Amino acid sequence: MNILYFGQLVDITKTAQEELSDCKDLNALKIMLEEKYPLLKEKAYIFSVNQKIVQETSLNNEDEVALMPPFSGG
Amino acid sequence: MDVHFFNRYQRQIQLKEFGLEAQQKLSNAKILIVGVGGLGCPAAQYLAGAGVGNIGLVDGDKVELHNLHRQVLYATEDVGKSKVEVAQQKLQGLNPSIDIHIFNEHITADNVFDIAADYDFILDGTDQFATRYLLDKYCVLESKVYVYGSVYAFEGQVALFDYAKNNICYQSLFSKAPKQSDVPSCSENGILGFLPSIIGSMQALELVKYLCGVTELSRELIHYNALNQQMYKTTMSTNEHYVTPQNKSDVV
Repeated sequence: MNILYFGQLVDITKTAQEELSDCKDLNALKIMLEEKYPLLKEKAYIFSVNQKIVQETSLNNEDEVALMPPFSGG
Repeated sequence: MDVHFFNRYQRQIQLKEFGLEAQQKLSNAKILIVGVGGLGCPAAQYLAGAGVGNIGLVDGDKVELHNLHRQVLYATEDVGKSKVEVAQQKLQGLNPSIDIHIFNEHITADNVFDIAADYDFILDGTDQFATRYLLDKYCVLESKVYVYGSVYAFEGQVALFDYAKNNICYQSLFSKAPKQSDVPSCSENGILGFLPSIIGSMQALELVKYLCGVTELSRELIHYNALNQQMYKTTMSTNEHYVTPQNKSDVV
């Protein structure tokens, strides 16, 4: 699946996009990502799956998942 | 009809999606702009120009030299002056036919109920998470529309919330509040002036489209990336864990 990172999360992942596979649901993806990028654990962000914000959902390899943190600058 | 009224707003009245009816809605509108900085300046400028009948401006800061590259209402000679006083003067010059009230202070839990009482729409041009959550909670409790906008480096976010209509608000979206120290501000991270001008204008545009009935209430969180000029829109949904504030003590 296609993973997109926005804002300050890119400072952690060092990429705005990557391909990952075999995550059965959002929770499994979150665990996998926070293992790969431990600093994500401290960040506030929400998940958007196929351009819809969700708290939990099953995933397949065709999905697009975006990690979106809030910004504060004004 | 007053010929000056028609002449002033002729270019927007002639838009068939807008027209005279929308113009009159703008004349009757009451919008509070909280923070007259990078987001608030362009928003205030276009809302005043468009003919919003009653605009409130809240900001306790003074103009600083490093504001000028992005805060387009202020000139070099304004450095050291109160932002809202300068902004009021500039906007009143732009459009003498509208009312502009200023609040030369920062919005807090202690004054939000007084400052915002007369306004139906709140446009958030602040740069603090605590203030954003405060304005959001206040708007939910008082059934007002909250227009969120923020920037980080080359990226920006915009969303319009009308909790009374669809049970979605900023806090139901971003339920986990980040620590302010986790997210660098413009002063720590740097910013080009163009981005807040784009995002502030988008906030004002979304507000006016909704207020005038040009578009329906949107459920979209808009993300804009100024580096690659890409827009990423995602649909917001309700959050069953969100607890609606019931009274004033839940807000302050």
